Amino acid sequence: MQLERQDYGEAILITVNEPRIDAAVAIQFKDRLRELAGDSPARVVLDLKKVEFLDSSGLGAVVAAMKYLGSDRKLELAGLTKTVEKVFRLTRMDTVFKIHNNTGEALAGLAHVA
Amino acid sequence: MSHEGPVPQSDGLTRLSIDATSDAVRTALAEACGIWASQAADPDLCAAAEQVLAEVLNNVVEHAQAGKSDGTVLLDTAVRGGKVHCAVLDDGVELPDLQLPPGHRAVIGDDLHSLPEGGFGWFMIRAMTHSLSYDRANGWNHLEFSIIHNKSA
Repeated sequence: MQLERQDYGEAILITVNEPRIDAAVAIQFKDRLRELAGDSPARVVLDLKKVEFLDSSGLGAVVAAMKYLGSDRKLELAGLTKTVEKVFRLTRMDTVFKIHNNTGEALAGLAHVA
Repeated sequence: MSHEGPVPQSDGLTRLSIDATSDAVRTALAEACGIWASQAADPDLCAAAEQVLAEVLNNVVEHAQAGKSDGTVLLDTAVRGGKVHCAVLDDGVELPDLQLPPGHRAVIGDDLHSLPEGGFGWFMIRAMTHSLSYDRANGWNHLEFSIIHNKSA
């Protein structure tokens, strides 16, 4: 499960470098995200622009990640492809997450911390 | 059961034999998408059909075939009249009460910790299929469905 973290001060960006979040990898996705976001600041932006396919197991894993962060931190989504956006819309999970068109929008005004 | 790849059937359907694992489901979905594209289904229809078939096959692997090591899962599929047709057969446990689950949309409350992490599958199947039927005969589940363009697009 290829996830990459970059720090932006009050936010971190986690890029999913996988074409699919499905039943075959949902548990690895959940575990890896917890590892990367364990010490995160208040905002965690998940970049999904490379994800072409998300099934209900993958959706459940994204929701689980949101719950893991607790009420003081937020999981936000960016770069949803057409098929992934449809899954969020159909299940109304698009009402639960803050969804940005892209990471530029999500991280506007923040500088990358090396 | 070993994976054999697509086998054309006499009635114009193509049959895939699928092992009851989530990795085999991935492979089968890629093969099914190839079949639909070769039968002139457009990319949006293929994407919708892949979504539904993924939910159906995951259910079979995780429920009907759970704990079986030698189960058989078959997919017969074709594009006809602008619809993707699929029949999924498996020799696992029957659906509860021999009925399709109602597939209500998961309820989203205000409380973070009560957010649903599952129960989306049957809702998505029902919302995205044009027709859907289930039959149990001689120890086999037979789930048949079709997908048309733009259903709940």
